[in-house]
Amino acid sequence: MSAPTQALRTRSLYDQTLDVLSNVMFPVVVFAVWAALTLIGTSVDQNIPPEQYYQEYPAPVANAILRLHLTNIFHSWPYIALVLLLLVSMTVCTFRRVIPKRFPKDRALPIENFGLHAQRQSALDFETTSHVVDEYAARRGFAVRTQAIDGAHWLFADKQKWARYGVLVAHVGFAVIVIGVFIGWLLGYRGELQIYEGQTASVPQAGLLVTLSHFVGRFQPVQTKQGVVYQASRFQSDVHVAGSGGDTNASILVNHPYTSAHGVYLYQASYGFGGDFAVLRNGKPVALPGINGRLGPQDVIALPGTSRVIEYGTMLGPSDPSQAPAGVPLPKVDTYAIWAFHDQIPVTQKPILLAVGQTYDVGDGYVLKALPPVAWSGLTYRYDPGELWVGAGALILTAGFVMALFFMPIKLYARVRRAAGATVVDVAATTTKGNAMYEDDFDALVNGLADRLAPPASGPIGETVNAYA
Amino acid sequence: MPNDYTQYNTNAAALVDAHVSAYMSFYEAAVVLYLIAALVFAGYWFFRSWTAIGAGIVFASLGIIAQCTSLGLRWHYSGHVPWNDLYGSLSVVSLFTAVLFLIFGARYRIWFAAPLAFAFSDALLAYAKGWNKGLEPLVPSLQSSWIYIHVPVVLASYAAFLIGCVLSIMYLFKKADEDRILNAAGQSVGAAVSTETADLGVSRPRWLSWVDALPASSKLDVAAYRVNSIGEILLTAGIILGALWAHVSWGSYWQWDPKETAALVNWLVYAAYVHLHTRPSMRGTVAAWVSIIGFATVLFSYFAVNIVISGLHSYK
Ligand code: HEM
Repeated sequence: MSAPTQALRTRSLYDQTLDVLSNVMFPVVVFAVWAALTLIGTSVDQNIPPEQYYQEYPAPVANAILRLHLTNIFHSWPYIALVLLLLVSMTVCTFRRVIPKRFPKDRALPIENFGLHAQRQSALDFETTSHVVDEYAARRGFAVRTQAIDGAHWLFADKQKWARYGVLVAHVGFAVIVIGVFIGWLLGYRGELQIYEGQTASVPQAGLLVTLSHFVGRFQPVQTKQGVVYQASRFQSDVHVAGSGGDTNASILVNHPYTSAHGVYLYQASYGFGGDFAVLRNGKPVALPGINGRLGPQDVIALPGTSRVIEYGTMLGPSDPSQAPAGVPLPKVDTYAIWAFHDQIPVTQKPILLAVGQTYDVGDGYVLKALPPVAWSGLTYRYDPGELWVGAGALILTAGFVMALFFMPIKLYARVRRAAGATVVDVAATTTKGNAMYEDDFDALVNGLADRLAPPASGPIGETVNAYA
Repeated sequence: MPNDYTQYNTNAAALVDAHVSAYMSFYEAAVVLYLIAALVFAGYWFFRSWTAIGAGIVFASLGIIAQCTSLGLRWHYSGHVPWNDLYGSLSVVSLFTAVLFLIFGARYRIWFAAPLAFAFSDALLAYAKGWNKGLEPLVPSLQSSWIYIHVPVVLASYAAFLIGCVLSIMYLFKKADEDRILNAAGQSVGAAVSTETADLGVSRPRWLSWVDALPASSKLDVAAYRVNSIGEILLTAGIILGALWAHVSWGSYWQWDPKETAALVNWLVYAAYVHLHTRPSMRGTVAAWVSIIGFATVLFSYFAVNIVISGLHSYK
């Protein structure tokens, strides 16, 4: 057999790699790099157009951000590679260090060699002392085993032995979360639905048909320095859902998604109001398909047979007061801001304000009548078969953290022996976290034991005092 | 009439409300009581007297009562949890620091750290004043029972990290002092048997005499580790609760939103810390610096993310 140093030198590349991966300093370095990248990603705006970096930062900084590809850190391969590296290191460490780690065997060891050790004289005889020591350790929550070795009474005890599985449990939890995220990525789907009141949209993957019966948006006025603003206090979509799980009516609110029989979630994500107009020519309605109740900013209505165009701007009013800038008085009736163009030239300097119910004479015999806006609701749909894994993994991870960080496995040794007419007790302890962690508790433990081994308090001295009293 | 509370927020009119002045008066009482507690606790450093600790506990408890009253009134008047804005959450961090400190003080015997811990958390509380937005309705995205649990758990982790950071700072002072004594002992062989600073003639500035009141640096390292571990457990639970909330609220566990990524930075630094601490050679000075850096990242995720980074977003 070669000497240890030589053995080290001749270790295979494979073994050396595993050594590095199972070294605790490896995850420390990965954590540090990961934290540094995440800090950059938090501070530097992500996923915005390149020009914007030049507006926000001095040119050299913006150049550095763009050339170092710091614009989409969280989805870049080095970032993902870090997580994978950590998983690999965690796995290697689990198999090479965490699982093989055993509690020391019950063996008679030289007590003085322990970092935490103490010696106390007992005023009691050998048998009683042994009994007191065993019972004391058991009362303090230790699992106790005893042996007679070389005429001495040995106690081997441990406490919170299970806590050493904490690291294992935490690492398993982390892995279960990663599995859940992977399952969700592989088998799940998500998407957005934009549904106007009265319309139906489908979640194709699940065969669900969702009809928006009614959308409710509620707002409260809040006084600010600049004037009144309106803060949203409720968004609610009343929907009818039809699918293989049966038909149901449901209300979907922010924080209160709807869950279908097959585990598809529908979330309240956004809302809005589509502008609606009736177009009349010489007093008769003109049907212009596709625009009714659906006009959004910059949508246009080209009036047939003319070079006149109406461009929709926005809606202001009680239906959606959150759009009103601070201090701008809210119209009593929903009001549209529109532009009218003739031969591509706007006919007015300012937008035309048209309250619901009012008409606007466009020219060439056309009249535009403002109708009440139609609400739409943006719903996110999502199916995630990995969610139970993620939830379970999260619980396991937290439990593992509590086990590993809050509890501490302790192994206790005690030896009771006869020495020159007296009984001597030696106590020692080891922990997995270093002696300093258990020092104070060890002192308390030894002092508590010493109290029990002291001469009985109601001895002759007490009687003497009483006699003179 | 100029209003003290309008430094940053826009909601000036809401602040002259009688309900707001009611809860702010208890808030102000708490700021004063914690300051007194910090000063009284400092008496232990210089006189090594347990009376100072006892009196400090009394003032700290009065401060806790005043702060709970303030938060309770705010809860009552607004009709929703008081930790929905920066003022409320900072206030809760300092309340948790005070409460956790009393628990840790009793459990881990770290009363000597009280002056710094209370001074730090009182500074946060005093600073919170400028961020008071008065009584506003709760926005729909926060109308969820998750707000009762996710936010307090995360804020409790910050409180633990604050105390951990204080202990690490004390570690560095104590360790420097021990090294100074060791050096002096090495130079004068006869004095080596004595650990009394005065006997060694160690040159130490007078204002540092309080380090004598601290336990050995190895104990400070252990105390900081215990407290930071509890912080990391709370942060883990808090982030997971946030992810579960995001799941019901946004339909995604994780959005890479600055608040989430900043929380991840905190988590990673303390994950590095607990791993580092398994190495005997890394305990002590290295671990203390990581703990201090960790708390700096907590302040970053609190202030930079809430004020500067989300501010960039909201003014676009
Ligand atoms: C994975 C997801 C999440 C993580 C990691 C996370 C993390 C955090 C952290 C670290 C804080 C404390 C820092 C601070 O106050 O700035 C915090 C506070 C808060 N979080 Fe979350 N969170 C998550 C999801 C959510 C969700 C979905 C909501 C609600 C829609 C939410 C609402 C809040 C609120 C209201 C506060 C405290 C108020 C404040 O300080 O402004 N969080 N979260």
